[in-house]
Amino acid sequence: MTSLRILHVDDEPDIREVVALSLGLDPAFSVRSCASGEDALIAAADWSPDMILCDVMMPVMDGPATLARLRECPQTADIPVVFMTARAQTRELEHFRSLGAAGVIAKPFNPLTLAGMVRQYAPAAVARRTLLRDSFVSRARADAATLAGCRPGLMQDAGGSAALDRIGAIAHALAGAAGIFGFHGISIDAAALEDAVAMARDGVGSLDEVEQTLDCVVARIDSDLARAVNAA
Amino acid sequence: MAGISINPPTTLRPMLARAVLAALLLFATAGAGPREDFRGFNIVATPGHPFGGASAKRALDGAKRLGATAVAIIPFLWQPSPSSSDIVRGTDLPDAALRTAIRQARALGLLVIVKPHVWVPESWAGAIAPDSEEGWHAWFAGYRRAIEPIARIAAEENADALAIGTELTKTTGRGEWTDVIARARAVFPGTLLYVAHNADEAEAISFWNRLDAIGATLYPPLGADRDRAGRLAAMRAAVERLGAVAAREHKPVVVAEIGLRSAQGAAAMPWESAEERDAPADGLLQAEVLADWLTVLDRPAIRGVLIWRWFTDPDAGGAADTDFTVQGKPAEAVLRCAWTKACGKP
Repeated sequence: MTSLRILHVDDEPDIREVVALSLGLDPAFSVRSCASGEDALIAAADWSPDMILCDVMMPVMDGPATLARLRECPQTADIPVVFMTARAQTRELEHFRSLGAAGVIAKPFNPLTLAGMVRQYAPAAVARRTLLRDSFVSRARADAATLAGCRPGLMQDAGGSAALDRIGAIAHALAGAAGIFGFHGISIDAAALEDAVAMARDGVGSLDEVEQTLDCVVARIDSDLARAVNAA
Repeated sequence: MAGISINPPTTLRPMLARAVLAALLLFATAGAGPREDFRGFNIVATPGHPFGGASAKRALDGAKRLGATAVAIIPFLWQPSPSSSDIVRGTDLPDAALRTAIRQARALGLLVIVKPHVWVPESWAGAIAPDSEEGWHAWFAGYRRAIEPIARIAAEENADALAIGTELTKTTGRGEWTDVIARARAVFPGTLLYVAHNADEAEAISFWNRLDAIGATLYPPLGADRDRAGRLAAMRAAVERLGAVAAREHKPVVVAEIGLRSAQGAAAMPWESAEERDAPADGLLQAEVLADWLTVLDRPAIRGVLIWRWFTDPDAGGAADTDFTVQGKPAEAVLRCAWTKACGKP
């Protein structure tokens, strides 16, 4: 299992650094930080974190507003969000939970026990990650079949342009998603395929190279997914 | 309506006068002590990273980012053995380098304590004791010769405090200290202190009344690594004793050194250096112990806490390191939370 990706959102640079240091003590986590709710929306869509630790009081877009915006986007709607706040009275906790927060970590927090507190919310993040990973495995298998199906088309139409478009789009998506779920080999090979497609389109690479790289990607998907299933 | 007199009854006047006098004396004493809290690190120059250079600046910036307000700069004196009287200034931080160090720290807005240490090969400052009366006279003469230029530079470079000595346990019963203090006072206008070794030496010293603050290093044995209750009890006992000295002397306390290696087994012997024992790294232990120290030392009489230690190499330390430095270790998060209050910011 790759480490859990934690996105930490706080407008205070001091707190961002301390949280990064504190969670860095636990190899179970990899952490990214951002300074505002707006940045968090972009980072959540781009990086696909397993959990978001979010400050409540932030200028412009506060924690609850950030949570609401995350829920509006299908890609980020189900990411568990844990608020970090100095307002952690019972009534406020209930309010935050009613908004959809997975939990609340009270400030001031102890930097030596923060990782343990975050771990309390890990099961929800792990469950979500497992679902997404299963979904990725199914999709990658379908992508491998589609790529293999595109191969003959490379030589058929004018320079294989329709096939190149399709292959390029699949390779791009695979390169991003495979890394998130720990399939780094697939991610690297898919990125190489995306590059080969771009070079063939620009006339600096050949369709033969695209074919060879595509074969590598298909073989890599078959072998890595089989290994992952066996390991599970 | 009966008039309300603002004049106290005659019988209370002597009592009031004494109270005013006591308040004035207390104010005068407090005025001579540190104006701000010293919190930060004992800075040790690493070879290749001299004070004044860009890497030392990065290291000092790093200390400041954790919330440090002060640094102790350490010129070393040297003598060949505990019984020797041949005490001389070391070559690690000559006059020009000492000036540069004070300037660089002050330019970054840090308070500076100049804190000379005596280095005795294969021994320590606390063992220094010349074996004859002539030896003592010679030792103090040599010590004064070494300290006076340091005090002068500290004054000229506007250092905030000067320690007239550090952990010279076996010397501090001697009357010569009165003269050392008077000479330092004559050239240095800032806060003068001496740094005693643990509460034992602090309790025994009779010259605190000539100084502005009580300095002490605190390295009591803290028990088994994970025995937090035992550790807290040992810390509280040491701090209570220092507090009692502070109350007796009406002086603030600067804890000029606390710390331990980031190594397994370090709590039992916090003074032990990495050269004395190989042990696996344990950054979490160091962080937990320092967190407890900062909690226990959070009391009004304590006007400064300096961690031993921080190097001028900004990349020193790290997770695998087992030295005292906290650089690149979990203790950084603890200090930052304690000193900047970052972890409680809403």
